[in-house]
Amino acid sequence: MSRKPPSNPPPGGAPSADAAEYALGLMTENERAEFEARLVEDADLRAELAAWQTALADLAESEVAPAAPSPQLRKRLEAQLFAAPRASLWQSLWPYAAGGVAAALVLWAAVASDLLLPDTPLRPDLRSELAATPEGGNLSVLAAVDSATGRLEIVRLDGAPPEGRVFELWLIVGDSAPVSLGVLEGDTALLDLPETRRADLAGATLAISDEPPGGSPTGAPTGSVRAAGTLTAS
Amino acid sequence: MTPLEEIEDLLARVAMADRRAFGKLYDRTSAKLFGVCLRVLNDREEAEEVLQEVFVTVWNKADSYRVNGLSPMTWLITITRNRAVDRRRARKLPPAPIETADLVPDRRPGPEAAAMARSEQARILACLGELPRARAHLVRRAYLDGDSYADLAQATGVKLNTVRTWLRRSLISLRECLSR
Repeated sequence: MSRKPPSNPPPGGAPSADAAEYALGLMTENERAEFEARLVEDADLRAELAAWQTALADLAESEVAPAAPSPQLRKRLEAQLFAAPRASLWQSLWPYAAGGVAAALVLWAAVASDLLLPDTPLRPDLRSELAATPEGGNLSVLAAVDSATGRLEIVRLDGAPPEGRVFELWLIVGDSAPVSLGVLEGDTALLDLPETRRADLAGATLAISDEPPGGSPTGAPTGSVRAAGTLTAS
Repeated sequence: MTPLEEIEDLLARVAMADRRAFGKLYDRTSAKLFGVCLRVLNDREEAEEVLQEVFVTVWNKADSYRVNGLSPMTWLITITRNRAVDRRRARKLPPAPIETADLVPDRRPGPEAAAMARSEQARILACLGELPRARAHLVRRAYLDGDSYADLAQATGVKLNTVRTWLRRSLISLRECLSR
C-alpha cells in the first residue's frame, strides 16, 4: 500500500508546521480559531510560535529594504494620537503581574487577536527617572503619576534586589519623613497613592531601598537607598 | 546601549505615555517598518495608512511584547507585516507572477550562506539556503509578500493542496535547520 502525504494535513500532526502556518497567516479561519484555542493551553506551542515569529522577522530585517515614509505621516499620527487620551497598558497587564495565569492567557489571546481590553485612560502629568545610587548598581526605574487620580505606574528597566532582599518604594514630600508606597514585586507595578498623599507631588522624591522580605519592619527605610529621582511635570 | 536595548527602553517609556520616546521610536523604526508594508502592498499610500495604524497600536499597547515573549523588533515587524497582509487580502490584490528562474531547483548552500550562518540574525537566511530554491522562494513569498495558499497556487499553477504539502514540508525542514 502506498503512503501518500495527506492532501490536507490535519492540525495537530506537526505542531511546528502549524505554528509556522499560523505565523505566516496561511490558515483558514477555522484552523486559526482551533490553533488559537490550542495556544491558550500549550506553552510549548506558544514558544514554537514565538520562535517562528522571531525567525521570520529576522528574514524581514535582513531582506526588506528600508524606505522612508513621507514626513506628513508623522504629523498625521501625532495629531491622531495626542488629540485624545489613551488607555494605559499597565492596567491590562496588571493581572499578569499579579500572577493570574488565566488572566494572562486571556490577555495573551486579546493581544494575539488584536483586541483592546477595556481600560480607563491614564494621563500621567508627573514623571521621574529613578537613577541608581552608588549602592544601586544598574538599577533603573521609571515612574509616572496621574495626579488627578493618584495613580502611580512603576517600571523597572534594569537591576534586581540583593539576594534575600526586596525593593521598597518611598515617597518623600518636602522635608517630611519617607512614606512607604509598598514593596515592589516584578518589573512593573501600578499603585494608588493614598488621598492624603496626592498634594505637592511635583518636586517630591521617589526612592527605592532594599529591605527584608515583606518590607521594612519599622515603617521607615532600614536598608540602603538604591535609587532615587524627583517627580517633574511632563 | 545596543540598538535592541534602546528600542526596548523606548517601548517601556512609550507604554507610560512618553511622547518624546514615541517620537524617537518612530525615528528609529519607521523606515524599516515602512519597507515591510511596501513590500506587501506595493503602494505607498496604502503602506502609509497601514504604518499609521501600526504606530497607533504601538502607542496603545507598547508593552504587549513582554507578554508574548517576543523581542521588541520581532514584535514590531510581526504587527506590521500582519496588518499589511490583512490590508492586502481585504483588497484582494492578485499575486505577482512567479518567474521561472525563481523555481529552478538548484544549489546547495554556497560559502556565503555558511558565512552568514555565523550571525544569529542571518541564520534564517542560511537555513533557507539549504532548501531547494523554489521552496525557499515560496516561504519568502508567503512571509514577505503575504501570499496565501490560493495566491501561491494561482502563481505557480499547482493545486492548492500540493502547494500546501510542499510548503509544510519546507517549513519542517527549515525548523530542523533553525534548531540545529
